[in-house]
Amino acid sequence: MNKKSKVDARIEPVSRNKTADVIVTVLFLAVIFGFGTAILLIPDNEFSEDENRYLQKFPTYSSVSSFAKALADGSFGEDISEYYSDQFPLRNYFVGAKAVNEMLLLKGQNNDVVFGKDGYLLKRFDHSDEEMLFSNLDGIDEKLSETGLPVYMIIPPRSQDILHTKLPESFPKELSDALYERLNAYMADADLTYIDLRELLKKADSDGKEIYYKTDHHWRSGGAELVYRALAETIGFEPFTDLERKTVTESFFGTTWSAAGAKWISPDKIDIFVSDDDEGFVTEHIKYNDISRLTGTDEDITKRFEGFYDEKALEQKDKYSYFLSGNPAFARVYKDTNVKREKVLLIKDSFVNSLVPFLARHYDLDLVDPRYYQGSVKALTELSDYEFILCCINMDILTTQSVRLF
Amino acid sequence: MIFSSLEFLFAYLPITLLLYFAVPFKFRNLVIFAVSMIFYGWGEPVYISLMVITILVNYICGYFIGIHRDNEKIARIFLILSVVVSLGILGFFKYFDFFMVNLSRIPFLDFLKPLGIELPIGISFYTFQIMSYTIDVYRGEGKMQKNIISFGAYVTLFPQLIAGPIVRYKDIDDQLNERDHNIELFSDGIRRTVAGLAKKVLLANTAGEILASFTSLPSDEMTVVGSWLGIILYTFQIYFDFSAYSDMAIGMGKMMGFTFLENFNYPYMAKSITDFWRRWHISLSVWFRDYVYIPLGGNRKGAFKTYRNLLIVWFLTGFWHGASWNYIIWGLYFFVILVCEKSFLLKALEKVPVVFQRLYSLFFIVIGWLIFYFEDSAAGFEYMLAMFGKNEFINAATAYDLVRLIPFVLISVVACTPYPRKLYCKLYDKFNTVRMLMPVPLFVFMLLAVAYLVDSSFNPFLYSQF
Repeated sequence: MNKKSKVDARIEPVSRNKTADVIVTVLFLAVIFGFGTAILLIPDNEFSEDENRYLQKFPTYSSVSSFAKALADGSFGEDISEYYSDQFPLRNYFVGAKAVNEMLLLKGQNNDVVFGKDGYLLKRFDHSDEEMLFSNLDGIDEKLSETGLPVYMIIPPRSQDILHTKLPESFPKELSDALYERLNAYMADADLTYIDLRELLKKADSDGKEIYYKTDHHWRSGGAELVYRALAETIGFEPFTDLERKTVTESFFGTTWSAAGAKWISPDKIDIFVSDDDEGFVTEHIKYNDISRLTGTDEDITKRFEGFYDEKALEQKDKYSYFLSGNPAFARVYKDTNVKREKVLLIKDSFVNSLVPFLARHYDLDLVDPRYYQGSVKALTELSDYEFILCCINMDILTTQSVRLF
Repeated sequence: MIFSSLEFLFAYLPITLLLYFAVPFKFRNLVIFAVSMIFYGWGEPVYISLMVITILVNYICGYFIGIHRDNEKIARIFLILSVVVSLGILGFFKYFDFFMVNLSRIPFLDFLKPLGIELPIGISFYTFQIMSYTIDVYRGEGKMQKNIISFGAYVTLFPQLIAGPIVRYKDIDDQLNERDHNIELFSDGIRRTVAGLAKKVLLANTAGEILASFTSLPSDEMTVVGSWLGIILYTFQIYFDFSAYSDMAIGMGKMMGFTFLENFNYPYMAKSITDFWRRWHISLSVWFRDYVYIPLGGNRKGAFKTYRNLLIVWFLTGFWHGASWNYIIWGLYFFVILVCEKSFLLKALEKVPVVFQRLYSLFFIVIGWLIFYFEDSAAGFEYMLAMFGKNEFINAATAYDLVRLIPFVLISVVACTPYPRKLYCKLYDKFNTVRMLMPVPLFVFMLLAVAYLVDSSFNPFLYSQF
């Protein structure tokens, strides 16, 4: 029996070119040795602004035995692996190169972020976890109605749900329709007062208004203004009509820009709406994630600034923190004045941050982020006199995370 | 450690090459043995001990078989000992839990419990590889390896340790003792390695990511087009992934002067399932042919024994791929088709135009991958129903994805054919400019592959922090 396997000879060129062979060898070795040594010689980066996380540094061990242990359980290998990824030279350029390649292949998206029209980047959601959504809403409705106060709820949509003029032509825009149909049917039965934002924002988009950022998943201040008016109508306060629009930065690169690696997309402008009366406002971040631990002194306050905005945020990459300066578990925005003002409780997500200035001109605000706040909401309402509760949690969070109120 | 990772390409490989070429030839097998052990133990150091035991047992048995070449009875005892130990280890670590779970289904055996044994990486490959040593020495087809370092290097050779090709001892025994190192071989090795890397990262990984969005849909949302697209992407992924690994193995082996046999030969160009199995994971079919089929008599002991031998081989082929019923079914699925082909189908196929022969083969290959992909038979069955029309034919999301994936699918299809390579060779032989410029696209593809690898680690904390 023929011992040798019957494999067709590999298709090979007949001619050889020694110079090419040498060039190939030199290039290859240059790449692997070049990057290999560069990564070790270049000082480690600590923090990635684009990813908003701390980067893995070269693993160090306090003793030989701890090193041996790390070798044995594979954690040394894992750390080295992460180190090589996180500290790779020219990392951001490589991420950009991949995005360019994906675009050239006409895939229309990269890392689940769709390359939309007019330079818009929209995160793509295919399958929304409705079980998670309704279980979250159940919990929220129950807990908030226990307080006995009027409760209003808004759910900021995802870009994909409303920016139909920015999605590619053939993108299945009806993807979200069924979801919102079921949501509205559900909310009709809920105890709280639900204000639908989707139709409002969809219409604004088709009217040509720019309501969400191109490079970020949040709404622009212009979009927040529309929501502000809708809230005013339902809740019953008189919205300001003479607010002036002002641009505070023209180089905002947001979350979808980071995820998509689409370096060729131009940045967003961040606008704010100002009023002549914008004086005396104070924003405070409270230390505890449970208000029952408050001492009532300045010890409670981890951050305080005048006005609504954190100017320093405009100098870093995460410019959205300009609004409210981040996402504390508990915060207060109020007017430092002797005139008595009504107070309102906001159960919030990050979208609310740019809505705050509009609402704060009417009410003093207590802001609670249910992702971090561990205390009881009812207890909160017993401590202060709130006119109403406004719950604002966006669709992305509601369909992907468990949101619990206590 | 995996080849398509930054730490392998930019730490392990440069250091290995440096060490390998820095030492004189007689120490090179030692370098291979040492770095391969590190490669193997990188993620799971614990299994190095298993590897060492297998190497020792087989080395010792091989030694005794070698010196008792004239005494068949004694040689045979050591052969059986080595095979039993190797298969025993493989059987225990890979199949023990499978047997426990299935036996426990029998009423009076329901006390049996699986032990939660983890599968040591590469064990299916290196066990078969090491068995070929004692068998080849016993048969006189390979020379006993007196040098335990060289033997260890053979077993642990990092290019093919984890996912093949399964290198039979007789194909490589001379190269362990003597092999060339020159720039032609080295640059050929580089070209092969980079081609494999690009195939793995740019084609296989991409296909894998996309297909996840089709196969993980709830079963009532799967459309006919969507489910077919999903399984076709898997068909691409598994070929690109596996053959890329073999490419890199062959390439890196070549950089160190080894020539391994080809493991894939454009399998999706097959004109029949018989032909397919001469082109897919060739080293495995060859192993089963040489060490199971032929010793059992092959096709030379009459029709009944032929079919019996085929059944055994295909059962084992399926079972080798995984300790799960779907793999066994997959093996037997091919057994049935191959028997049909052997009896009458091949003759019928020859009368049909080649394009239909290929479509016929591809259909059964793709269905085969459906069986192979779903370890959970219930999920696989649901998926198959979707493929054949249970839900709607197509929906807006599937249509959108279908269109935007056309370039990628076209590239993948072309990459499954020998035509690009044939064109390349033609141009290479004809024009010196092509020969001179060839390093450029190679370099570009390598950096593009690196870009994809870097991006896959790029991990923005999108929402919790912002």
